[in-house]
Amino acid sequence: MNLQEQDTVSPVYAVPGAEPAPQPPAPPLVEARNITKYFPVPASLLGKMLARQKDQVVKAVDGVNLKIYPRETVGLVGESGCGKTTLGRVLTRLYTPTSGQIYFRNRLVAGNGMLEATAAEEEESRRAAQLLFDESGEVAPQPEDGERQPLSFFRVTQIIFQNPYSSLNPRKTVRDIIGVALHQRGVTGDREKEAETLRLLKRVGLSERHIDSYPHQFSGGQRQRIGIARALAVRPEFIVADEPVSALDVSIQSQVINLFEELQEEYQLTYLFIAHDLSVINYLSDRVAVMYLGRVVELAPSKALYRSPLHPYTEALLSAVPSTNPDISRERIILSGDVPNPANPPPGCHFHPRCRYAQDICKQQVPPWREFENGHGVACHFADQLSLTGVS
Amino acid sequence: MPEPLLELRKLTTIFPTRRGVVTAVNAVNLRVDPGEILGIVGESGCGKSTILLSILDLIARPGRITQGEVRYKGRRLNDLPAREMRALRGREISMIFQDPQSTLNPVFPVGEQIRESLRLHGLLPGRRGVDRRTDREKERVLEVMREVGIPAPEARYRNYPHQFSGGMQQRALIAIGLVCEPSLILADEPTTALDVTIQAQIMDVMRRINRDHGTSIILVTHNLALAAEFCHSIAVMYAGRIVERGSVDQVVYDPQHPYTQGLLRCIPRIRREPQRIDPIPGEVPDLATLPAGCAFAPRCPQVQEACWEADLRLRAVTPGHYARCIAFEHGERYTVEEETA
Repeated sequence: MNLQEQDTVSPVYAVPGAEPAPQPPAPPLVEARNITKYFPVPASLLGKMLARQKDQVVKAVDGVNLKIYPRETVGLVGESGCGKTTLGRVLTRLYTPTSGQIYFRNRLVAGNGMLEATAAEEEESRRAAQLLFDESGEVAPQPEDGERQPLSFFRVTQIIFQNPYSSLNPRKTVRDIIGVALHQRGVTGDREKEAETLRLLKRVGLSERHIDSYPHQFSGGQRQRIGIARALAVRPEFIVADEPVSALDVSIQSQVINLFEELQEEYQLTYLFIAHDLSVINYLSDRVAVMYLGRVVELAPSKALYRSPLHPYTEALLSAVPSTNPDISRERIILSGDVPNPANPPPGCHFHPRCRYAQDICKQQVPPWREFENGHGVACHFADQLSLTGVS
Repeated sequence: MPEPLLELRKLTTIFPTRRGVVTAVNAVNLRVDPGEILGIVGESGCGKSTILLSILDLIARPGRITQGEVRYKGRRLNDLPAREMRALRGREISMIFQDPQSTLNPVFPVGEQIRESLRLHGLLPGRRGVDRRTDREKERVLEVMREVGIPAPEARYRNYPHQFSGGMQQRALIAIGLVCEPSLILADEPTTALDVTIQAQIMDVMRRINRDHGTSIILVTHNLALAAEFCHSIAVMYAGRIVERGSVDQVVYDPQHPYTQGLLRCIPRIRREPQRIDPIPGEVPDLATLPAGCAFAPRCPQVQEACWEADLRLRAVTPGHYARCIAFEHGERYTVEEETA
């Protein structure tokens, strides 16, 4: 709590001396500290010569701090181009951040993706990994002692991609696709690989006869299940799911959403779930982060964020979602304009040109991150003064 | 009842494929009244977009309409000569496609593309030799661009599609559809590629067009919530057939067909306490190998023995509310007049 004002009556303030907000007990599983990811956009030679264009930089992720606790699901929402996919890829180290650090269980993820793990910790994670398939009675294969290596971040982190058509190699069978991931885990024998692949397929709801099929023989929903099986194959602890259901039909979408929930329960997974669909995020997430032009503008437990948003952008997003509930007669907030060009974002608060509450200060100063009760954080100059409408 | 603007009677559209004949649209009856907004809702491959293409006779060969008719203002469109059909497209019935990036021509300025349909239909012929800047076509184009919310239309007129954002491109497509003041706009998933705040902007534009000009709209979408908020009536499609039809109140708030009920149960709600979503099991069927009986039977929680063979028809549940389900096959229900005719 970095706000100490005594005189306010606003209910969102933490009252000094009152009970501290309940803190999640465990240390964060994954922590992002001041992550930035910039992409250079060089001007063309012609443009430089004729129009004096300058090289530009797109600040896709611009100073994000995020803690993700074990076994929770953090939803990440925002419109296209806001940097949510980039953040997800940085957090799986598919992209190297321009600056900032990622910590996994309080251990810095080094430049080569390695975690400096103590022997005891490594042993523990290996033991946990062995338990994974015990219920079927078969003992999971384990790597030999000589193969022990410092724990890689890539072994504990996986990503599931949005497009199930482009994220599976069309020339490989399911056996090959999942086999590569199993190999990374140290499962090398052909028979062990097959047994493990069959178990994975069964778990994600595919039939055993699919093992030698190619991706084009599957529907979109089935392909996404293959992607999930591939991610599970390395026994990760942290999974970034980047719009995993957006490309699916509604009836299939709900099947996959439920699969995500079941797997989290069974394997104690931690998710960063990226989506633009606020209903899906609401359904799955414990906490929700809202991004706008590279910055997290609001982060709160789902219920608090949906019921009493503190950022005007969150309010507008929630208002724009169509609903099948007839009881709601609400005034829809229609934002003017588009998402600005991330190569040339507006100064101050990035949202101010579209914000109906914007004042002069919003055009000049970047709003600081402020935390209110119950871990509800927001970056808005007037968060404590506006009373915004959520959904009930 | 007012004279219908558009009527589809037993419209059937097929696509021969290597794996067999796909009946994308299977004996569909529909009616759109003047000023009405009709939503056609369904999952991918259910035939909802094919209906729109069939209305404008835009089915690509070897696909074809094998049966039924399309009536517009009482006139049968099926055997219309190509020239007359062209005169109708864009002038009387216009279409807004899903993906503006592939619909707009990248090598012509957006303004010129909006102007094209005015010129083709010869609506505002200018006198030859008149200064282009004062001609009536361009005036009309700027007016339409303003109406759909494209800021600074004079400057934007000369812009190329890549200089527009996705939302602006979609507005330009709507402007193309609107410029000749048609009586009916067919909108095929107009907001699917867009963000939710931009979707709200676009639907607001479409709602205004309906209100200010009395233009009828058929909105094809997979988003039941969007249809519920925007449309007056809804037809739910499954495997080429309409399985439920009625007003929004009837279809969304009192669904009768198990498929509609399932769809509503499997959408996560943003409001209320999130309750566990209840997926429809199985997959969308392959239209090339559709079994006899009700196409939804393999996924239906209320399936009965008779479902596997029954040749079901849309039957009235209550006046104006129809469902194609065995539950309404018997009893004191009356049938849709077109279906029995």
